[in-house]
Amino acid sequence: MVTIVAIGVSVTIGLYAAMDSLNHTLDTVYREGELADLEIRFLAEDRQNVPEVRDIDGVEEVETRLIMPGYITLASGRRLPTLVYFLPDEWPQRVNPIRPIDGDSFSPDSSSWCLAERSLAAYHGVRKGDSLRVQVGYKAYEFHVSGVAFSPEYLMSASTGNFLVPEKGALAVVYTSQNQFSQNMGFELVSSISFRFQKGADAVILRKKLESRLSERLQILEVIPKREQFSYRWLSLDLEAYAGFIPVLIVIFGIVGIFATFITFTRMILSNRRGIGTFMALGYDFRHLAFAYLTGGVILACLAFGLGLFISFPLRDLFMSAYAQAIGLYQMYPVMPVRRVLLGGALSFVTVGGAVAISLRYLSTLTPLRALRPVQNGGKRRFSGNLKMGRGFAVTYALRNLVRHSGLSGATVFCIALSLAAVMAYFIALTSLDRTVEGFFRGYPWDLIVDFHTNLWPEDVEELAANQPIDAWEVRVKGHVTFTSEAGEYDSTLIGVPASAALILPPHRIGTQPPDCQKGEVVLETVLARNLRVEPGDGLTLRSGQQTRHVRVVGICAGISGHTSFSRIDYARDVLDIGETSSILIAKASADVEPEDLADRLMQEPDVAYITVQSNIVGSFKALLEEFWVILRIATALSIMVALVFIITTLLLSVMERRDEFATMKVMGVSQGRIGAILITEAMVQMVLGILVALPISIWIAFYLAHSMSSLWFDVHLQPSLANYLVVAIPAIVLSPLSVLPSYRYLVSLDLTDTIRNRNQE
Amino acid sequence: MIRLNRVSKAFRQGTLRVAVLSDLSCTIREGDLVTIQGVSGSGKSTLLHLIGALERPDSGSILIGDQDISTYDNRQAAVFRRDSVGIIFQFYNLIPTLTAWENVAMALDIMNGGIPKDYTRVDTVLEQVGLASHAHAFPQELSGGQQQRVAIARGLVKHPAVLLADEPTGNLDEAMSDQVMDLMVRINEEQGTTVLVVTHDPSVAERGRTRLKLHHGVLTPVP
Repeated sequence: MVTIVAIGVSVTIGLYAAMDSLNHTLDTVYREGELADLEIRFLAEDRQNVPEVRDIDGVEEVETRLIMPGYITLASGRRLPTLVYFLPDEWPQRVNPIRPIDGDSFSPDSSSWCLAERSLAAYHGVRKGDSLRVQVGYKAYEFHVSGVAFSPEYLMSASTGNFLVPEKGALAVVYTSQNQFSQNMGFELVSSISFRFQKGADAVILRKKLESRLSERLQILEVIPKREQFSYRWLSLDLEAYAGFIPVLIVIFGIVGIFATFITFTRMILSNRRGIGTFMALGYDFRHLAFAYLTGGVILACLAFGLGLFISFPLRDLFMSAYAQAIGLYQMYPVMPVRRVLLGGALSFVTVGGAVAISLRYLSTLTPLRALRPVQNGGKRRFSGNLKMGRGFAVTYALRNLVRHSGLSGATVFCIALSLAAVMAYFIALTSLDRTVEGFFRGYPWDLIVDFHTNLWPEDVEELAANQPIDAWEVRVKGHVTFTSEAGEYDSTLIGVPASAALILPPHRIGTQPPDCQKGEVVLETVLARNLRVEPGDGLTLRSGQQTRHVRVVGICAGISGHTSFSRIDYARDVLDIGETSSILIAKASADVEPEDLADRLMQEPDVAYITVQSNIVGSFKALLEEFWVILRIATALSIMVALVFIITTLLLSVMERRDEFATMKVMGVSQGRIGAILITEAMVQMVLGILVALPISIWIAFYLAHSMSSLWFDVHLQPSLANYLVVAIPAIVLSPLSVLPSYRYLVSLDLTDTIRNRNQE
Repeated sequence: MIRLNRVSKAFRQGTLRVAVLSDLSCTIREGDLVTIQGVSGSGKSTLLHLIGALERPDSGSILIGDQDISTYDNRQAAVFRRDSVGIIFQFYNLIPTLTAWENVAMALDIMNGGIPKDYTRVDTVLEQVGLASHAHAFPQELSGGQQQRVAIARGLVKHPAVLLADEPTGNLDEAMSDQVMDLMVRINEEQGTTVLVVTHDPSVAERGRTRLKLHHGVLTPVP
């Protein structure tokens, strides 16, 4: 019983502490790493033309840099999209500082040296001393790698630009001196300004002031507050989803703990009936006896809490490291918040206290005479006739015993079912998510999404597409906007979709699809709509640059970025003020060319900045789910352990009650093998029944989990598979014979003559 | 033939070692009906347990036929009890979840697994003990005397060489005791089964063809 409650306590404290640790890691890394509070990206401009902003109240630090997209040709021949950060001379940087973790930083004078972001080292083997050739536009840069660096901007493995899915090693980042570029150009070009604000500064007001000041001379492309920074946003959303999974486990372990405690105390009271009757006959009343049992309950709750707290530390570290490994975090700051420890303590005391209180209801009904009267607990008509000796005495006896103790057997089966159903449900939910995502991406005929460095005019796009083996193509426009509602101001990437779009559309949820939008109408992603607290039909203010418009929400779509919005392409062009240009090309490759090969060919085009290949994005999503699969495997082991501990407890209680029956069997010459067979039959029957009961419960829990995931990402359609059940059921059944070991050892060591003598003395 | 040769047995009670049987020797003839009388704590149940291979003596030997069961390990002892001895207890010790028929059949069922069992023998012994009509009753649906007769049938079903009864009437009224002892006598006479009954009840002890008394670990014949 203590073990079962302790597992519940350890899961509660361990999982929440793991989540807190991840959040704390995020905060610590960003704080210590001095991540920018705001970054504004704009069309590259001479530094001389960038307006002065240091005089604005609340601005603490300002850092300018030039970010240029390009590519590195890998040894395999593939072209790896690359961002080259041309940094100012001051070292270290005041905002988003680059920290060498292997090797040295470069001197501003050493223009041919660079630092490689750690993903480049981790996934592509780039080391200090290597040479790197980075193609930026028409110019090739030859670098010597002076070391490997970490930047808080890339806490997560670098990702694609169009889907909020980290893709390990999909983007290379290289840091070098600005001299590299200014020497060629003759002046200092910058395209990004990062800000750190003073403590207590109003980030919203400051942002408006900065946007206003900078837009006087610069063409702003993107405004990225800290909460919209890729890794910050992705981790926040992911942890939110992760947190949604925990309450189900706590409820289930709580229920199982209550059952375990209730059964233990009820059996204790039943087996002590005569002692209780004697005490009552001597004048002790219910309060005295209840106090004695409650004291026992408090001691057991303390033990369960202590054991649970002890286990929660390795459990936290296990979950944390599994998560960190799955998403590519390399630095962890574990914490054990007091409030989580208190929650675990509360769970222990509420579980044990509640169960003891329920058990005491039976005690309150006892009178001295009733307590002293022997309990008849034998055969009943209801199970005669169906079970015959033909199948062997061991099986008959085992099955009859389960029916005899139907309450205990039922509770055991229910608790086994609950603990197994939880993990089955997680398997169903994740498999369904996996299939839903894959189904979505595979449901449209696109192969590639091509992002341009700068928006292209229609004739340039046509020329680019015409020179490639492309069967069908469409364009999109993309730009940064801000939506304002009564709930607040939220940044969004607005994507303009042509009316004839067919290669890919966002997963539809409610209302109108983007191609059917009219002027002034937008479709929002679920999380964005939730943040803005709007539904189809509601109005919003849309801001782009210095222009403000009133728009109407006409639809909600699913998505995983949490901040994308859609409109008709002509309206988006109007909002973004980009004429007839396009930002993205979506293509379906010709039948005779592999999408990856087409991507390589397109990467040679100077206008192409980045390419997302469908199979890669599906692969990345599957790789991301791996974090949950790892956690789920740990949870499966825990759940099976709880089920086994439950069988161990109830079987041992049951066997102790039937000690005389087993002694009689041994006197008659029943072998230890047959006694083992009886116990294994009882354990396996309970486990199998538990699994059968778990099937419908798991579907019910899976519905809840799917709903939780749907509120953050896609509409997850439940698609349970046999494997979801077998992955839990088979280990549970195979391991169930182990649960008889304590009972078996008890019976093997049973002193026959003592047992018979004691029986005769009763 | 059961032969006990200088059998001793002591138990530990706390720090004390209490000798129950000391250098006890006796012979019980095949087909005899022996009653052993003695007060509580005289060691009569211990003697029965030793003959039933439920316990091993501290010293001495116990021969059942030509086999010395005092040297048996736990597995051999279990096989001996399974195949060669029927044991009856004061409190019947029936399995409450099995019917009368199943309780008896269990004794057959646990015998060598590979051998086909003749379950008609169950009906026969239940007939012999007068419980054919209660074959499918559960123990708690039977009276004490009926439960003890089921226990006797369970002891008999495998044709044991020896039937050991430990206070078989200790929990029954006089009329029931008489019925049970009548049955024991009939089994002994009709089937030639060696029956050994330990009791503190003089009226039960009187039913033995050979009557022994156990006092302070010494076995003496009762004239």
